[in-house]
Amino acid sequence: MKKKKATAQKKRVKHGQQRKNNAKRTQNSAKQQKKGSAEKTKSSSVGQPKKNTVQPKKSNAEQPKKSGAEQPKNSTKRIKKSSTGQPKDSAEQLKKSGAVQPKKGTEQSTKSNTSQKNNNTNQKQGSTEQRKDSENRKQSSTAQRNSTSVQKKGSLERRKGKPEQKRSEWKEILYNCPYVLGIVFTSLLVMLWSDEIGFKAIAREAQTVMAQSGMIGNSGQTELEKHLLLEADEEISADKSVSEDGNTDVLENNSENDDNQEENAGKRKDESDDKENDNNLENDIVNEENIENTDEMKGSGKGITKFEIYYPREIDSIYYSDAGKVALTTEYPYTKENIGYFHDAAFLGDSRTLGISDYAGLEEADFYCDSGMMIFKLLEEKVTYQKTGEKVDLNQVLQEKQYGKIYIMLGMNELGYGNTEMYLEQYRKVLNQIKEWQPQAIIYVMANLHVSREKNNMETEFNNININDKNAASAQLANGTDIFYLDANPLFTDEDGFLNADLSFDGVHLYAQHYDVWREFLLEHAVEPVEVAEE
Amino acid sequence: MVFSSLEFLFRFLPVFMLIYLIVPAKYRNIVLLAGSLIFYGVGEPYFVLLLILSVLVNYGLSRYMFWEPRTPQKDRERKWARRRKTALISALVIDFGILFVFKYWDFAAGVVNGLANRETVPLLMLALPLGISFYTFQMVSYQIDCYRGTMEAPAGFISFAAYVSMFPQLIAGPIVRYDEVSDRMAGRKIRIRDLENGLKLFTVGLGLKVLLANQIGTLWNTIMSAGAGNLHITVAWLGAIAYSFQIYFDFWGYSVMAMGLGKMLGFRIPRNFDDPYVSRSISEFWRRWHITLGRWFREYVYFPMGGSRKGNFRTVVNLFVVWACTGLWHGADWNFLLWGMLFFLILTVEKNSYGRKLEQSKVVGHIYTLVIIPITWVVFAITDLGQLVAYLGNLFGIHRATVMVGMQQMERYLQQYWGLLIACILFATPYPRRWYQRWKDRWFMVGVLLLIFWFSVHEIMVGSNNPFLYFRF
Repeated sequence: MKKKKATAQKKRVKHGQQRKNNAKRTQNSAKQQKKGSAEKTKSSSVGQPKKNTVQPKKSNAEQPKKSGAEQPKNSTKRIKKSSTGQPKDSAEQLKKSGAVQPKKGTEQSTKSNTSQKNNNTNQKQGSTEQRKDSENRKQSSTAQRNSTSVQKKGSLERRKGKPEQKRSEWKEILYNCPYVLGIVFTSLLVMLWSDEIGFKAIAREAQTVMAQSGMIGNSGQTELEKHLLLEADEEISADKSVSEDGNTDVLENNSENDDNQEENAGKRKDESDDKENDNNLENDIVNEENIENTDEMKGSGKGITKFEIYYPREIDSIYYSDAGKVALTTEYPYTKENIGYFHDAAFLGDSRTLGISDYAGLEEADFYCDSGMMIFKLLEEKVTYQKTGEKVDLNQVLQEKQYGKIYIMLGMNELGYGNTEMYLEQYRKVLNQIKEWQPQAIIYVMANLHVSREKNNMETEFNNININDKNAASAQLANGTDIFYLDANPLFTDEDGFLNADLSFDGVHLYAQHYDVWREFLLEHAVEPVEVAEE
Repeated sequence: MVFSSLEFLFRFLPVFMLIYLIVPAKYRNIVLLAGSLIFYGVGEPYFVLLLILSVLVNYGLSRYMFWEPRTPQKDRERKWARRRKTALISALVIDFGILFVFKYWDFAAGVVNGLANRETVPLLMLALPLGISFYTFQMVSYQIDCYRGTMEAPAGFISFAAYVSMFPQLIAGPIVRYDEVSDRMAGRKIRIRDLENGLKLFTVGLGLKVLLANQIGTLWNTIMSAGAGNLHITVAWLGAIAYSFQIYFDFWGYSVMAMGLGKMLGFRIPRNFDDPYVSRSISEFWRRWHITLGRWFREYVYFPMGGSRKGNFRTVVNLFVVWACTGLWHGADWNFLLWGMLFFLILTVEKNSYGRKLEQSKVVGHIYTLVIIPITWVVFAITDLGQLVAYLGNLFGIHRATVMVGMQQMERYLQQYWGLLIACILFATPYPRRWYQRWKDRWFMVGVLLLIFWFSVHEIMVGSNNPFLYFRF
């Protein structure tokens, strides 16, 4: 500990001195170097202006006391370098004027900009010395044009202690940049470990680049197919399989090309591709089911969640794919209620639900929400209870207090987390858990609002296709008996599905005054709990 | 590419630095130029061509200025002067012409169409090339310096191109003059200490940007999301203060990062901020805020027009022109013009009456500045004039609609942001910088800075929402 302190202190003193005396010193360096390096101490105190003489004295006077333990180490280093067994003082001087000064001298020489060309003779010398050193020397020697003879003397001495000097210089470098080394070292560690910024990601990026360049041959074809497909409205499903086959072919080709990355990125892609296939299959099935449902259930008063199918885009993302369908608000003979309906309602959600809490005027409802809340965190972490501002544990709250209605809107913060499949799984888990605790409650799964055109970014995962992917997934959970899917998007979006720019400052959150519309929407889509209980 | 992105931190910077350090000194300018163009081209694949084109044209014109006419002795001086004038004027027309088309065309067309009450001038709807305001100003400063003879010799092409496109200051300043980098362009040695200190400085800037500006920005965003016009007076002020912090730390952080990167590359990039929020008057504020821009306008607009030497009336006119330009430089919209005019008014009044006294006062001046500055930033921030008026009304307790964001929300905001607000206040004072200066070579600073760096990286990873405020300027 002591030692460290001493080192640090010494270091500081040295840097301070360097900086202070640097400019003057280098100016005088020519004079200094004329004398033999062994005589340096004297020469510097005699031949230079008085200001400079203060510096070596100071260092010599201060150092021995403070860094008694340290100095031997340093001086051995220096002695080795000079390898002539000089006394300590002169060795230190040598080091300062020899090893440190050239560095500073560089700055000087580049600044003064004058003597670049005159270093021919000196350069020859420099070439006999070490590479590292020569660069310094080259320029330092330019500062002192007429010091050839002195240089020879100095270089002779240096040549003797070459390897040792090299090592000590490296030490010097290491010692001078602990932070750079720290960053480099930790970066390497993190890059080895991290999936997002690390070497894995580089491999993945490289592969996508490869894939893109490899796809050039095929892309025309797929483009064409796409067009054909889009035109053929009727035969969507048949054509889809064709195009998907094409895609997987391309991907396979690429992963074959890149043997190294096959394990990391290739798998990922294949997975997502599979997922896409599954989704689409599921989608079809769900749709069929729904159609069946409509026939069967119409009489029984059960709600039906329908999906609007469209032709999905190809998305190259680990987080989401294009669902190829838009979930519509569960069809059900809702009743229109008044504000009292919310007296036994709980709202769980993220910053947008917070907006409902703040501005929709639902004084009686309980809001459990936080900015940045996720479906993955809902039952794992504490949530702010907006009436008191306290952080509460929903596991506890939902077991203790019975609610008649529970509104959930989560998904925005999941856009760049996991993937849609995981989101759906977690959503299902959460709903099952809530249903277990709140058997009487009607659960409203609310669609995440879309973002504005300006905010919609296809290059990241922050876009409406992803939001729709999440919404479509969560809508699958609506069973029409005690779980309903409510999509308020049509109230706030334009014809392309973007949030109206006039309604929002940031393209994500509605202005306070527009939450009234939302409240009315919720009131118009109320389910009588009694009815369900009778079911 | 922005500095506070993973792409820059873990892809561009390490690769670039490695190459930059490995190559022999004489190729460093070329590497710097190539790297800068890649840096720019990744974000703006088409506008990088515009950048290259302007650099070529400007370089040609500047060389033309230095080209001595081959005529008999007595005619030469006159002819040379004329040649230099032609070159300068064409450079100015081209540079400002490009800037005008990309930045101001639609605004001007809107004004003209509004006056004519029909569509006489078509809107172009062009995207604004990144950093065009900054690099245009740098090229213009170079041309004027050449014209004035401040530049003894023309720069080499690579040097000039590297100077204009140097990635540390390419997209958001500081606006560097050529003579500030010319000696380093000619030859520079990268010292290990510079590398170390530069990286430290960069980390500090990154922290300011990511850990302060971005975080406090969410408060401003939350308040604005509720909508201007719905705010209680306290919330309105909180929002204005939050935005003042956001824009300061954002821009200051960026400038510090630029300085740090400059240092790592062996350059010395001038300081852009000098604790502006501790000023005692608005005049002082503008001597401390965006120093290089103020300097540019002073040296290339205000002084050539006569500055304050041609009588009171001319001084006021000159100030008016400078502040109208400063306002419009920040953005092509009415609110920016209004913002400039606001400063023109305040500065004129200060100059002619209480300015001196304020700067000598100990407390009053600070309070005065701290009240005025947030108001000016609100004018700066809100482009929609209706909303702007509503917000300004809220700042003074005037409401047209019912207050929807009141004490309840205020309480929550404070609960959520008190720590951050205190940190912001602290970092707006000069103390943290002094501490940094004093302790930056201590070993524990390595740990502190590593923490800041990785915490920033973590924040960048978590928050995909990372817009640069001073980006599209």
